[in-house]
Amino acid sequence: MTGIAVLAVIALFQLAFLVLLIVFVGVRRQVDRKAEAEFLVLRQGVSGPLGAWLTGTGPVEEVVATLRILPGTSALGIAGNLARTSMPPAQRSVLAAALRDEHWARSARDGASSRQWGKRLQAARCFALTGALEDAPQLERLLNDPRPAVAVAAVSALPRVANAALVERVLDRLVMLPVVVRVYLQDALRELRPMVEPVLVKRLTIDAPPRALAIWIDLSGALELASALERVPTLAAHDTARVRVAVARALRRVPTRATTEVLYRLLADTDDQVRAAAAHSLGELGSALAIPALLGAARDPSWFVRFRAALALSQLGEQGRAAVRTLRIDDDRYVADIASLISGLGDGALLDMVES
Amino acid sequence: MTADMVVIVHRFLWWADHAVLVYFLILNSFYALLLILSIPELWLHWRVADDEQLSRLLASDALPPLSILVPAYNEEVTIASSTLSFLTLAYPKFEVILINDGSKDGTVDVLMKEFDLYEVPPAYPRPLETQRVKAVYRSRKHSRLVVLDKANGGKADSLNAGMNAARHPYVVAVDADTLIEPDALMRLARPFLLGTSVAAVGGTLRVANGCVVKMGRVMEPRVDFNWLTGCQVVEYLRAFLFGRLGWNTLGGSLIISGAFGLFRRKYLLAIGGYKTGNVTEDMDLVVRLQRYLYENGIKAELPFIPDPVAWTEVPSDPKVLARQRERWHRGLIGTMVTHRDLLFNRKYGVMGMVAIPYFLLGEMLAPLVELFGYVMTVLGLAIGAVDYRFAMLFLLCAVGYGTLLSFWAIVLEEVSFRRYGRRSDVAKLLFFGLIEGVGYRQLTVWYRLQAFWKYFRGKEDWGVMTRKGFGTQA
Repeated sequence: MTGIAVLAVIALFQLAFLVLLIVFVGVRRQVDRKAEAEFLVLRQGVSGPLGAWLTGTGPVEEVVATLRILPGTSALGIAGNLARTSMPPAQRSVLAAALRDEHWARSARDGASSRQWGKRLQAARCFALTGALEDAPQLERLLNDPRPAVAVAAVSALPRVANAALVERVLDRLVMLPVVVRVYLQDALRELRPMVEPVLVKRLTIDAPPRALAIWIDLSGALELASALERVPTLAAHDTARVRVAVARALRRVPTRATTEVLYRLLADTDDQVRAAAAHSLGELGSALAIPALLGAARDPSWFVRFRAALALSQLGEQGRAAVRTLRIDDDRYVADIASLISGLGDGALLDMVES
Repeated sequence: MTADMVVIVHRFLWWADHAVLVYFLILNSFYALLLILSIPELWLHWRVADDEQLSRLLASDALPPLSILVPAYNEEVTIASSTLSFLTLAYPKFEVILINDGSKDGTVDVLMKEFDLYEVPPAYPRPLETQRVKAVYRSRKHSRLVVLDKANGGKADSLNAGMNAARHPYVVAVDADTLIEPDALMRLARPFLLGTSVAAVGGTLRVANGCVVKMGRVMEPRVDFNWLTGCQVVEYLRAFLFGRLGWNTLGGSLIISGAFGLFRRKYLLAIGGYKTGNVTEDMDLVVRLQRYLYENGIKAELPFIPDPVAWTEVPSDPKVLARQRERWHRGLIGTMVTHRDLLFNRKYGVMGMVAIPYFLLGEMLAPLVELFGYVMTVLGLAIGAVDYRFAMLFLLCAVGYGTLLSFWAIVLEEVSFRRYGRRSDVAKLLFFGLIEGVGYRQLTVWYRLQAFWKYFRGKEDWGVMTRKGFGTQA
């Protein structure tokens, strides 16, 4: 075959392929529109029985039957949305029990050890909907999934499936989880406070690994676990700055004289992040008694501490704001600049900065 | 001419034509590879983007706060609506830092009036050197807005000034005239849920010409009927939908658009921010960032995500298009020359062994090789060294291959995100995909060739980019 013939064949193939692509684009639109319309009808079919069951006028079996005729992922999606609506725990348990042995639910849960992360994601969602205590080992694997999306979905199943041993292991692995998963886990653990509290109290010791200790202290603060927070001030002299930052942060939830004393000490810490966190917490506690200490911190050599101290002062009512205004004529230009910045901010901007 | 000379010329032309043929075979095979690699990536992102529950997760407080940096120069006509569109984006926590780069018009006055600005002291550390920041303003109406008024220093300098003032760990660089879709930031943050460590994330840029635009938002995507902008719609689809997605799998992405990209601030500060004086600051930044990550053994990804969309106005006038393409290519040449030590350097992994060679040989030199090919073919035809049927068929196959790639991009768009709802727009896309290979392509080759001339003459200007604005759109 000559070169010309080869090129002619290639050109013909290209032409055929081009025509094929044009036809595909046209046909695909038609097919998709038809499929979408059909799916919409099926989806609407679920809403009637669903509404009836939610208002107590229809049986759960009818909901299950209408979900059964939908594709598996759609059934899981609709049921998952349903589970997120506010319904009494007893009704949620009825739904979980009714759906647990459905074919699509079993098949979704079987994906827990799949190599495809999409299937693991569906499994995690299904555990959140239909999970039972015996699913704990599979759920634990999903909580440690390398894909944060899977782990986050698995977190929602934790309150349904968790036992004390699993909670303990989850807390031990907390340090290894991505931040995004930790944020969600914090919410899920709120529902499991009675199980979490004794575990955390045991772990809040001076010889615990510093990184994990800092996270456990943060969690104690976020969940407002009284007995755990009682131990936090004992860690204020920890060698690691990260732990001391966590202590300063957690203490903003404990408005006592002893707490404030610890925060004053941390305001004189050698690490600027600790000093900034202490200033922030004193602002959150909202006591005007902290004004002299915060005025001192507003003259700190570190920009960030000065900024945090001025912000904290602005949170302490009119007296605090007046204190910031006095700093605007400070001899130190940097102190005066921060004070002018903070005292000029509107309420919205101030709130934005305090929260960040 | 002696018989020997004729033989030598014939032989040279034969070899030259075949060298060009082999070059394009290799290059097109690489495109085909990118195309194949892009399919599973697109499938993944499409499924995730379609997932209602993941979308809900993305709206949560678990996402990191962002600082949006918007450099503005002489934007008094559009600045109020574009700033408002940035401020009303859907994302849990962000701030907008608008940097007025010494505008000669009333950009700052408009902002003062519309957003009730008040001056605050510039009380923040400035790790990057920039032109003098004359004043810092905040808004009484929108607590998320910060405006920096600085002396003119160019886009890179403005972005550096914005980075100094940013409070959040991630920054998003956008152009003032870029129209960002309301949920684009949340989509851009998807890697935080899909992976672990991210140094930067790129989103998709699409052509806004012809779209229905209201209040700084694209209300209805449409394809313009102007051939120049129509061809660019197809070109952008091709570049973003399979070009950059393919690089995701290879792991050596070198481009995150300067008009819409998210970066981890600490890495940008570590490399000294944007380099002023470079006419395509975005590519230079990504190459330096990749380099920094390799040299410091940091395992952080630079993924491209196809569905966070920002819309940009592309040139509809050949003169403006010429300036833009010449500048882009000049920037590419500059970046390749600056980082020539990376070429085939194993120490830099995929970047050194694949990405840099591709951008040097496949992108930078392509216009020269194409011109050489045309000249040799014409010469060969003139002296009878090349069979005219062979030349014509070869040209047909080359154009046909480009058209196939364009059509494939349109098919990917159709089976995934399908932004263009009207059938007539799809028909237009197919039409422009068909005609792009004849005329438009050669035009851009010519513009890119001019870049070599300007680069070696040491030109460093941006050229004037005239835009019509969105007020005149459909």
